[in-house]
Amino acid sequence: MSKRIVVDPITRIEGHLRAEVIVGDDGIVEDAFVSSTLWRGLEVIAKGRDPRDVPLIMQRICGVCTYSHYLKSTMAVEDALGIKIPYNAELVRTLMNASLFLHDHVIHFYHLHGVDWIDIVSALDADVEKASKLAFKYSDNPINTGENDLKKVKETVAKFANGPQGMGPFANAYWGHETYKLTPEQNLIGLAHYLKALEMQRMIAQMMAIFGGKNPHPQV
Amino acid sequence: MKWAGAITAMLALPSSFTPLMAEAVKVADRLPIIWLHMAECTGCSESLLRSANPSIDSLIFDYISLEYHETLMAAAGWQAEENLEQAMHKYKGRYILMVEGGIPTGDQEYFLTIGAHGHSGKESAVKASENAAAIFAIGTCSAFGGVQAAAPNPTNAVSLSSVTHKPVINVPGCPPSEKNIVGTLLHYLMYGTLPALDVYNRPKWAYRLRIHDLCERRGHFDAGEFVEQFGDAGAKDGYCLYKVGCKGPYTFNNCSKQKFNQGTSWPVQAGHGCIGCSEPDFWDVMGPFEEPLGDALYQTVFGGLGADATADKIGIALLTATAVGIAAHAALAAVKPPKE
Ligand code: SF4
Repeated sequence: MSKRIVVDPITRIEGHLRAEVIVGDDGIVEDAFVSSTLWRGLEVIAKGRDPRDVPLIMQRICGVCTYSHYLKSTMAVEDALGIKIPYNAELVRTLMNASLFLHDHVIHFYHLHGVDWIDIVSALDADVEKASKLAFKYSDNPINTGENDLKKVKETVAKFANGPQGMGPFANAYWGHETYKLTPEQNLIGLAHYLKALEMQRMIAQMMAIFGGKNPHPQV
Repeated sequence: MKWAGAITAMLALPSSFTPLMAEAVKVADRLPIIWLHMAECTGCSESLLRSANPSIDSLIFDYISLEYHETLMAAAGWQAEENLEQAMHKYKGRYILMVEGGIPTGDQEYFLTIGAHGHSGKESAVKASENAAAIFAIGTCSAFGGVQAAAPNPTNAVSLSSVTHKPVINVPGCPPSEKNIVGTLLHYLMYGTLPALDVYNRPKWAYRLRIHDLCERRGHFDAGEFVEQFGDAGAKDGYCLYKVGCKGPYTFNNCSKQKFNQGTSWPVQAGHGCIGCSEPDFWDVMGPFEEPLGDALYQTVFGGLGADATADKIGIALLTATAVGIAAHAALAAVKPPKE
């Protein structure tokens, strides 16, 4: 008999998402459904408003890809009213979009997606010296993977993993599962990057703040 | 702990409190936090990630125990739900609940569901509130209903304080700065009690003054030097943004002092007026955002009602009166809820 598997909440995304998968006896997926479990009605709210206010409302669709919806909604209003924007406006929009692009990739790659393939627990078994050397295989200028850096990363996480309070946001995951393909050394490098990226994203966000006043949700 | 001094200053405490702050954080030994997402955009969570003093990694790994946070946690599905259940059980009466997002209610309650069993957002927020040591509504959505509660509020979205009988500290802003989020937490860590609050249950250390009070363009306001149009000569000279819609005189928050992203900038510095994002119902009562309230060209959601009702009190004639903010604030509070 086929089984129905529900994954809800899907975490490390913006918003609320549910996936249902029907799996047959042979382990083959027969059918799958995905639904977004939140509706806010921003399109209804936009109706009848001052068109200049609408992009600010639409920006609130997402605070992770903040600015995307603001930009496109502004363009939609301009399109409807036949407005041509000055060159400087184009420049500042491009700069802001570029800062979002940089920021969002870092957050998405490491903090949202990363722990699907970086096994944090396995990283604790890594040989620091080996891992530090290995990092040069992937980049001529590896980041946060000197032997001392890696030792510190390992200590931080070991303290955390072995402490009385458990692993907080990393608790109850599939650590050790066969679908995690990386070696302990590779996992440690990934973990070092995860931590460094928390610092980097904060700096990258400053770039948007320079052009747009703040981040998330620039300009206002 | 380099950041302890910065935080102590921000909370308007004497510098002699700095070592106490450092000590309080150490002693707290990873305070358990449950962070729930309701009808929201995750902007508040992103804002939390921008924390520099203390840095977000030291927060997560050293000072707090983030038991449940859908944007950051590794687990998903039933494992995630299990983490939430366990945290509420294990830290009963001791965890801090932080809620981001408005809460759909009434016939629309199920416009937000969470978990395999399809519990409504309201159910999970109420349940988590029951045994929390303190409850913080993070962001304007959770504090006042927010963008989804703007007219005609299609999902009957309400604030967290409307669904729980427990006391709720509001930390509004769209999103609130990382400093206001983390500051509220550290204030609690330090005192173990709720901070002094204003009429909207906002911590006074952050929301006591108007944006206008400490604005860097304030001199131009007092001198009657205004940007008349975006991009004009006044805009280049950094004149006051009141006439292009700044709502700083009606908005209580510390943006003009603390700014955002480690003090990099804030909207008024970047050349756009404040839209009043930390005030209740600001999407309806502060619009249109790029005009002074007394001066609406377009029909607003009020059918012009909001603008007309306040026009007498916030005329350009009153601009130099220091009482303008107080009068406007009172007038805004009296504005009737918007009709469709
Ligand atoms: S009206 Fe706005 S820009 Fe002008 S001084 Fe007040 S807060 Fe600053």
